[in-house]
Amino acid sequence: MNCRECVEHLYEFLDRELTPELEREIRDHLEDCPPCGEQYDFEELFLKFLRARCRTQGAPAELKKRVLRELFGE
Amino acid sequence: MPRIGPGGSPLTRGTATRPASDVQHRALVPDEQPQQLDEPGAVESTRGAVGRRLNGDRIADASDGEPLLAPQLRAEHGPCRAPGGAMTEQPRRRMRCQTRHARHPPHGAARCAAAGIGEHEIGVRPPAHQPQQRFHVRPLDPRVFTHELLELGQLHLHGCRQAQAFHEQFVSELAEPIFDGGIEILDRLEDGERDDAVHHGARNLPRGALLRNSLCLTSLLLKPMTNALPDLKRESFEREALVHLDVLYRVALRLSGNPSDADDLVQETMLKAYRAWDQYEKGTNAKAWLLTILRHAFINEYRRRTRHPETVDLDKIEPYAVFPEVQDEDPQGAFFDRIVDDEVLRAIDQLPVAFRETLVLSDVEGMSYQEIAGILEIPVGTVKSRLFRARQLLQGKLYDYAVEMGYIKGSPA
Repeated sequence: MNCRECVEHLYEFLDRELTPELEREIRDHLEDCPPCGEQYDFEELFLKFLRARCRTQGAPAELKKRVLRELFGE
Repeated sequence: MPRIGPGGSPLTRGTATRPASDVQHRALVPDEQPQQLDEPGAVESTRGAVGRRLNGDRIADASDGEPLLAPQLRAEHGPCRAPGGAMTEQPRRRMRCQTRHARHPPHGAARCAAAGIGEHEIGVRPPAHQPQQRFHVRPLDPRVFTHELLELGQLHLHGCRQAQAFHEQFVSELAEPIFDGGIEILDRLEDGERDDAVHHGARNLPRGALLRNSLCLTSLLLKPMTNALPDLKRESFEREALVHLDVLYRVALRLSGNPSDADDLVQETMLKAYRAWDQYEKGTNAKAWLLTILRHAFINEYRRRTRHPETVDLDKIEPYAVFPEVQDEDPQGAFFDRIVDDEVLRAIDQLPVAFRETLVLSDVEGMSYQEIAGILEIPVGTVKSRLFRARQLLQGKLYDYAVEMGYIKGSPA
């Protein structure tokens, strides 16, 4: 596993979408390679940031009422 | 071999809080006194079956004082009865199994069973205001049950009312009304999944399914639905679908780009989903199923509105990795923290729709590549590459914004 391959699979690694073998290879590489490790931290932080920023919003209460009214006549 | 789940009869569990359950439990005890079978509303549950005469076979009135259940039936199940006539849940279940096994000497017996229905006289005790009537149940139509025939014992175990309604609605009208009507048909409890299905209120088989699956009919279970049918549907819809309203709204908002369209999109999705609820296999992936509906609704609406759909050549988009840019100045990505929600959402909304939807499903809603592939109807490999580029593109936008705002110095252009 070289750095290019590692970075290529970084997102899949973060998303836990890799095969166990590949996952192990990436993990080993990340431990041995500080720059790749840093990039891993950066990407991980970015994904957490995205999730936190975008999930604050939910369906408005008015919409919930509207759906219930429409479905069940309430 | 059919079996009842380890947690007990799901039929019993699943209906424990509904009025119908009483009917069912009682019906499971074949030799119970007719008085106990009587229950206003429960009788009506067969949707008028009670009050109507089948084949003009009205044979007795309440005044004649005859037992309601056929003598044969009582003789058959007599030994199962607990002393004093009271039966706990456990013996009932066991009894049902035993009975089923006993009545299930391989296929031949089941075949005979249908013919047996005609031999049985079953009684239904109507509400007090109706005169008592008894009906003959005619044999099942062999054109319907071509492979295996309905096991008579099952019908009886579940009570004569159901048997009668089954006969009236299903056999005489060939399958259609029953799926919308007062009786729900369950496949035999072949494995734990069935138990689960039943527990969740069980599903109505789609129209015609019974005919195709007629091999399964030997241990068909009938379950009275009563007036609770719409509530059952509503109950499961609320439990499995409505809980995803926030997810749907967020995705709708990112797809459509404005709250008013998002409202309409979610509303339409929920309506369609509720209408098609019988087609959804309960307990699977309601979120993905709903999102698929939402996306189709969006595409249709989008096509209708725009004559010139977005024509972005995704391959020409060349995202760049941000990390190398910030590696020296801010490897921890602290500049992200200074970017407010609205700005992030605005940046997402600027992505081409194919990237946007992939990114939102993955990074906002946390769906797997496989689920996303299913919803977007693209291969998993495409999900992967779109996601990779969508993330990089978004990072680039946010980085540019951060540089512009002075949150980060950035490398000289």
